[in-house]
Amino acid sequence: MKKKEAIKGEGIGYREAIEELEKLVVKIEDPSTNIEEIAPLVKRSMELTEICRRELGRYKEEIDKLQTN
Amino acid sequence: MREGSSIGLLELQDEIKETLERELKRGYWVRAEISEIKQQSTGHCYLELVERKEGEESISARAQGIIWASSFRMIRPYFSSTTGEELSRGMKILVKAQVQYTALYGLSLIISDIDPSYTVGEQELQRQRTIMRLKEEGMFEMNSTLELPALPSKIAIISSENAAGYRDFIKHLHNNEYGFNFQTQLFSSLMQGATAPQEIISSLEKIAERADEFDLVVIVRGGGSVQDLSCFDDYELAANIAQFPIPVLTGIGHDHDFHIADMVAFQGLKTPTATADFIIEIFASEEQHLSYILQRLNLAIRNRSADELAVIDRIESKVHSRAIERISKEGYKVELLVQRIKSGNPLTLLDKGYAVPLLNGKRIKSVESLAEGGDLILIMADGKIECKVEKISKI
Repeated sequence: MKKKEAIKGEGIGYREAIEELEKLVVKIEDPSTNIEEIAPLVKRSMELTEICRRELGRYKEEIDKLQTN
Repeated sequence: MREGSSIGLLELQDEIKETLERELKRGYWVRAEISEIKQQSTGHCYLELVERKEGEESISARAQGIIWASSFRMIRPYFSSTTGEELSRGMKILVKAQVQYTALYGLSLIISDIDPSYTVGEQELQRQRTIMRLKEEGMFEMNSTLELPALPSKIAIISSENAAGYRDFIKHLHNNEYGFNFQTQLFSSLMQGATAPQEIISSLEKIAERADEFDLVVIVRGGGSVQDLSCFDDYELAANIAQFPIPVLTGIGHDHDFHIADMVAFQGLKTPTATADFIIEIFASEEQHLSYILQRLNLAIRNRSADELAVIDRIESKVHSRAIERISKEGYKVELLVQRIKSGNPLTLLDKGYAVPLLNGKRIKSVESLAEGGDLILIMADGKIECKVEKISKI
């Protein structure tokens, strides 16, 4: 849990991050979304992407470590 | 009167003496049985020698024998050390004799030597007869067909407590290098002489009364003269050993001694020490067998757990690869979303020189939303253009 909280100051895990990311992608693709909103949405998406990548990387590392043990 | 042609008794006897001594000058080896024997205070030994017809009690020949003290001093110890027995009544002997005749005492055999092996040989004959009898009566193999307990630790010992053979046996058995424990009980008996068989038999009877307390009977004594050990050829003793309900081990005398008691026993060993070794060896080989089984068991368990480990290994690597697969899948999902953000982000297009049209602040995808003469805003990468629609033409 400590590690999770360290990511981008947000206490969210992979599951929450990817669910939010999916919603943001739909919003970005939606033409009815105001153009001014796009940039912050993209920025937030990148943050969430980073969380997802990091979390997945960490999971993989943990699994590899378990196997070598 | 025939006095003139007569001779005196002495003269006749002198003539007999002369004839005998002339005709029987050489010494003879004579076989005979001692029927009487006595040693004079002077050291001379007088014997009455007899011969019986085979199988009969009646005497068919008799003669006086004399061993002069000078010969007897040497013959006596030699004979008793070889046969283990003193010259005695009823004994069959082979003597070197010189015929002597004296007017006063008549005929005597002057004995200058005795062959003790002849006397021992008689016993050997008796031995063979005993063996034959035991075989005919079906007893010879009886004890050896008993089943020895797998680990015979309760041992009844028949011996004499002061005998060297008994001490050798006890010492060797209890100080065995493996540290096996034995429970021994001594049934003390006289182990030599005429009464020994009966004493040993009565010890056997005492043991038989408590047969369920013992796994094994051991009869031991150390070496001795042929005569000392001859009691172990006794028929009654052999018959009792043969029919004994518990296996009997014998360790009597030295390496070369082998008696009927040894033959009818479960196992006849050469010496008391060899008897102890025999028992220890039973335990040692059982222990070896046990450790072999344990080793096999150990190996089987190890093989078995190796099999189980292999199964677990396979499951583990399956779990691992599935987990990694799952993570990769999630990774693709994330990358796909990233792609969609890039391609769906209108701002990305602006960088490539495209413009985004807005009507009333909203993006439009079709000219249908516009009207000629109306307003329109075009967003470009570095700013926005406020436009007026002059003409619309569809593609």
